[in-house]
Amino acid sequence: MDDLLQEMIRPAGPSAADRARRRRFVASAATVGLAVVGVSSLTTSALFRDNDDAGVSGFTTGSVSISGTPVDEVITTDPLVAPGDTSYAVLDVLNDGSLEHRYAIEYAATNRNSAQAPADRPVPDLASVVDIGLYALPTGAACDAAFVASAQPLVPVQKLAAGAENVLLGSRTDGVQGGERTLIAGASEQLCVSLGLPIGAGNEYADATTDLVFTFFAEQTKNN
Amino acid sequence: MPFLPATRRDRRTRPVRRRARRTPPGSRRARGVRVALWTVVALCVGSYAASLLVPLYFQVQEQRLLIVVSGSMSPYIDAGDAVVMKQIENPAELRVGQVVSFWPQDSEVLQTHRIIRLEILPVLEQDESTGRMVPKLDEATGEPITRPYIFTKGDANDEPDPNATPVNRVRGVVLAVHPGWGAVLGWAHSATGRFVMLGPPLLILAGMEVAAVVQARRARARRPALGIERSQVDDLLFE
Repeated sequence: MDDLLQEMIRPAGPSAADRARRRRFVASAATVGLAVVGVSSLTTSALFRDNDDAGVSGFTTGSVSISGTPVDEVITTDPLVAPGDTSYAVLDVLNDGSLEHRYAIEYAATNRNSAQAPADRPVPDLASVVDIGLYALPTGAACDAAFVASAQPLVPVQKLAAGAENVLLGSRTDGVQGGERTLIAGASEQLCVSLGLPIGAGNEYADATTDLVFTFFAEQTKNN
Repeated sequence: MPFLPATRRDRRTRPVRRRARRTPPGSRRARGVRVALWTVVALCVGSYAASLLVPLYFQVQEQRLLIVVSGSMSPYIDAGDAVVMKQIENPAELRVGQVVSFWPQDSEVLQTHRIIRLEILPVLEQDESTGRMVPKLDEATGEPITRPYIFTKGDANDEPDPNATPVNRVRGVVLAVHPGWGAVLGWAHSATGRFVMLGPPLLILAGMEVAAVVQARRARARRPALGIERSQVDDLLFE
């Protein structure tokens, strides 16, 4: 009875079993709490991977821009250029946009009489007899006969065609058409152009000139 | 005051000190098992807590931990490393040679590469008449609108990255590299890691609770009855 009364007057503290149970409860609560914290934005925003999708500040479109050295190559059958001669010219192509692009090349060839020809002479179609070749010029290489003799042409050597929008390399049509060249953003390259007057060109092509203008068409490669 | 039997008068002069019942000392083996289990719980929970505290520590300093999963920056940064990254506030802070994390123009996936060139490029628009891209002009000033870009390259890659990146897509600059941290932290923060590190402690704690309940029931079954009727207690209390 005394034990019972003492228990009522001055209750005993928690038993060892109660303390043990409290420890287990606290440990369990802490474990579950850590699991919740672990999947919360508090920690997921502190640690991320470089393959995570994440919000991007602003949506910015890039640019496709190409600049090439326009070549008004003049071929004239004056005493300086004779049948059998070949002229060489370098085209500098620069991707000055922010996106990688592929590019195609077209040219426009315009025939005319040179100053030495009679004014009333019909303009000979000099372009139709001139051979054009296109080569990728490695850095430091010279665009000359020695290089062309050993280089692989980007396109088969072919006769020029008078008029505009003559395809030289690739195609201006959207998408990969075959033959286009690729330049990453900020990159540049040089192309070597050879223009040859065949040895069999007749006298009708004397004092004649063909003006060439090259046009570059560039499009982004990504998603295209 | 209730009348107390004479045999208990002596006890009235000496207060009885009550102590909480002590659980019977377990055998050495049982105690060892409990210590081992609690050690496992502490290690697992402590390890997981550490994996949370490490990135939070950097976050408090306005930095972020980035786990690198590709090897394009090897040997400077290998896959599985973690880099400490600080967000840039001013594009003027960027320098050639810095390693930065950014979203490429063609992707929403973060990439970490080295800056090889900084350039300001004009914003372009197509001239409808010529088809050529021409600089876009500011309507107020008439000056071309420009935008700063970074050109980047992975140390392990042969070629630079194909596209330039606007500076506003740069996430931050890499301040330090911690080899191996990424693999450990990445695993710890994964679903598998959480399961492996937190599952056993919860199971252990649940098992210990079940064992305690079973042990308590057995102890009650073994305890002898007091031999005092409830009615006798009531009589004494309310007399």
